[in-house]
Amino acid sequence: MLEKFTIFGIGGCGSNIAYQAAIQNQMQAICIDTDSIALENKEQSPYCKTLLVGQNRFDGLGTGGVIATARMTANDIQSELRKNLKKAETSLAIVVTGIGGGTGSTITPALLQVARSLSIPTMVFIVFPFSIEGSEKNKIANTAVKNICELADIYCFFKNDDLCGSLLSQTEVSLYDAMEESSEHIISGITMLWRLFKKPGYINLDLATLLSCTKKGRGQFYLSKGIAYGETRMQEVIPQLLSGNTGVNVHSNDIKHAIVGVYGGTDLRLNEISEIVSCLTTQLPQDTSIALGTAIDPTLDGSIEIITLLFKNWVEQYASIPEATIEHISKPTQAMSSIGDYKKIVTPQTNTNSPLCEVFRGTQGIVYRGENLDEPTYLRKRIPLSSI
Amino acid sequence: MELSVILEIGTSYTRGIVIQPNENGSYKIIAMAEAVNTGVKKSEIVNKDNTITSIKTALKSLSLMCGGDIQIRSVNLIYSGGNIDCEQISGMQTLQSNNAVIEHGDIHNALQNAKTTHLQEDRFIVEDILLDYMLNGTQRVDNPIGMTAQSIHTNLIRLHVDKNRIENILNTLEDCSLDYEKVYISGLCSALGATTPQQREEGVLVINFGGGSTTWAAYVGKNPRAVGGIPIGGDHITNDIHCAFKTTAKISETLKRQYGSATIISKHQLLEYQQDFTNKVIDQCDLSRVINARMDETLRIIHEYISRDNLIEAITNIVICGKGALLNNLTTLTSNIFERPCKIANPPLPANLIKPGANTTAYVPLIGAAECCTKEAILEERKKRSDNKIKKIFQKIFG
Repeated sequence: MLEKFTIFGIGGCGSNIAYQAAIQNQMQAICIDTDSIALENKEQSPYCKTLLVGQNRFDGLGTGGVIATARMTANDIQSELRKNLKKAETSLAIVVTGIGGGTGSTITPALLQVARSLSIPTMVFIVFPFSIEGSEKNKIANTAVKNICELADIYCFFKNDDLCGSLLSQTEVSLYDAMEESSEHIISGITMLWRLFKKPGYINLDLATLLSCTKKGRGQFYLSKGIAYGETRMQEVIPQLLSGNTGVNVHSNDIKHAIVGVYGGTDLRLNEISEIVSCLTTQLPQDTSIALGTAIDPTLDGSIEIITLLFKNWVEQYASIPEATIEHISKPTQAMSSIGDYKKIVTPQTNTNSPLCEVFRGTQGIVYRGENLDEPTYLRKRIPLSSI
Repeated sequence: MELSVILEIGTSYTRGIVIQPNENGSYKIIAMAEAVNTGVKKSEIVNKDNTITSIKTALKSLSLMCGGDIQIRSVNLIYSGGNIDCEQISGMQTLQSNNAVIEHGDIHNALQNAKTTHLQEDRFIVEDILLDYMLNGTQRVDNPIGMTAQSIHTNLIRLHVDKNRIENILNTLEDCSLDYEKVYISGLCSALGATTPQQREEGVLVINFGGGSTTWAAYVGKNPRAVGGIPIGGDHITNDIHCAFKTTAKISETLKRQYGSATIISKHQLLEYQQDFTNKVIDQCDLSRVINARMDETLRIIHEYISRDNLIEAITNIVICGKGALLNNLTTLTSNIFERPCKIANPPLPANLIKPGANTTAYVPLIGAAECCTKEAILEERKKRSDNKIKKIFQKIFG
């Protein structure tokens, strides 16, 4: 199977971004929403598949922020999500979600849960509401983000306040412009990633590189990008990359891993790539591992685009734990809360013969979110221990 | 009134108390004992012989504490399995004529209709607890007798457990030549033993951390709104430590009790221990990470259960009990996850039965069950007296 990624847009905000990214890059997108009107125009696109969920509970009018019912919808549609994820035959699920409302906050964890049970790596772009949107929305967002971070492999926060912080003080900036600016930042990030993986380059950085990263570890990443044109492009692009507008501090000691993509025309020079790498090497902590890739597109002659994914709080999977132990962790099963079975949060199953829970032999196993709870949590959650 | 014996067959210990119920609703604990149990894992019997030995040892101790002159033939059982669940059921009775006055018979019929609600065959109904009545499907009332309505609904909470597992326990009691009077659910008893009626009225969640399972009950108003259990307990923490540091079960248990913390300790401190005649060290920070991962997960699962139907919004306090509640910083972690104040239940027990200053939190479910037994005993006593009165009347009439 060719390695490919599918972008999932959840809720109004997520669907719009996924839709626009799909149109721009002719990539596969699946937009999931409870609002039928918001999905209407997206149905026309050949690249975009729409999934209207929770019709029985919301009549296609959106959740109206009713979290309890939206959560029930998330339970209802697990089989539908599973079917769509399987059908997409994707190697990586890129999920874009706006949290604070009902759909993004509740359907996203359900989708990630299903992806995990199918062993599909996930990369999640989480868009926070503006703080001016009210405390209730922000409260919902804060609750949702905990669930999402727990289930996502790698995730990135986009706070509208940060993205449009400078615009708030400008009186002439319209709401439309502010929202466009916010969406554009994420769309261009996804676009650059997509191009980097799809366009040929002499220093290879393909989707497999990103996938191997998600297999090695999980955690939060920062997306930073720089675009510049002309002769002075190098002088302009590096400060953009280092300052960024996502709140990342490249000097942070917590950054453990970096993926750097350089995208340019046929005039992209070797010394330019070298300059970027040496600049990042000096700025980032010494033990940061850097994966570099390039992509060449003749239409970009005269310009340079750089994207960096900086992984902070990188939790290495099974760090320092012997391979033999890893093999014993049972793969997440699909015996999660079954459809319509709202009451069952944990489900009984026949206990596995895992040597990690030998002490519980003869008792009934228990599954929660596809994981065998008898097995040590720190292994399942990939929590590294320094002293082993 | 007759003595009552309450027994809890736990994963690590079998605990029992003997109480003397009084007619005024109070009771006196006259004996309490515990015996190590190696026949139970995750609250399931895996070795019947060992369990029988443990039960007999506990009963023998109880009998001796009562002066050695009582023979225990029946017990009230506390069930603390991880398969406890509940669901709300309701039944309706249409009244004979429109706006008729509700009588006892109508309520009885509505209750019976509710109780016919189907339950999966592999489940065992422990208790159906009445929550409230509803008139004409809209008006909630506590006591509908004498009121007029077109229909009456009864709302109950049904507590049920895994049929095979409870039958295994009841069969084991039978093998010990014991009858059981009533089965009580650990979570529910813990709530009664650890809180006051006022606390329950305000909304409280009581979590009992046992060796093999964790049970809970959420009270809002007078009645329980959610009762449940998961088969994750202190033994899981011990096993996690064993897997992480390759320590023996005994050392893992000691490390957990002495140095374990439910919250992450950021300071790196080396802990020394001896295993296989060699000195070994582990980092306390790592130990806390292993324990925190397990406790955080367990509490979040409970949070998910309690969050159903927005019940969490009605909870104002959390009380934790059971031996697992003594894990360092567990109140802090619980409080952080539920965003509610949390404390450990440590009810007073007779000074002659327990060492001064000893923690009584493991006995919380037994104390709760003692309250229930006392109420049952009073009802039984009243019924007996009433039967005797009727008997005497009949004897007078018919000789």
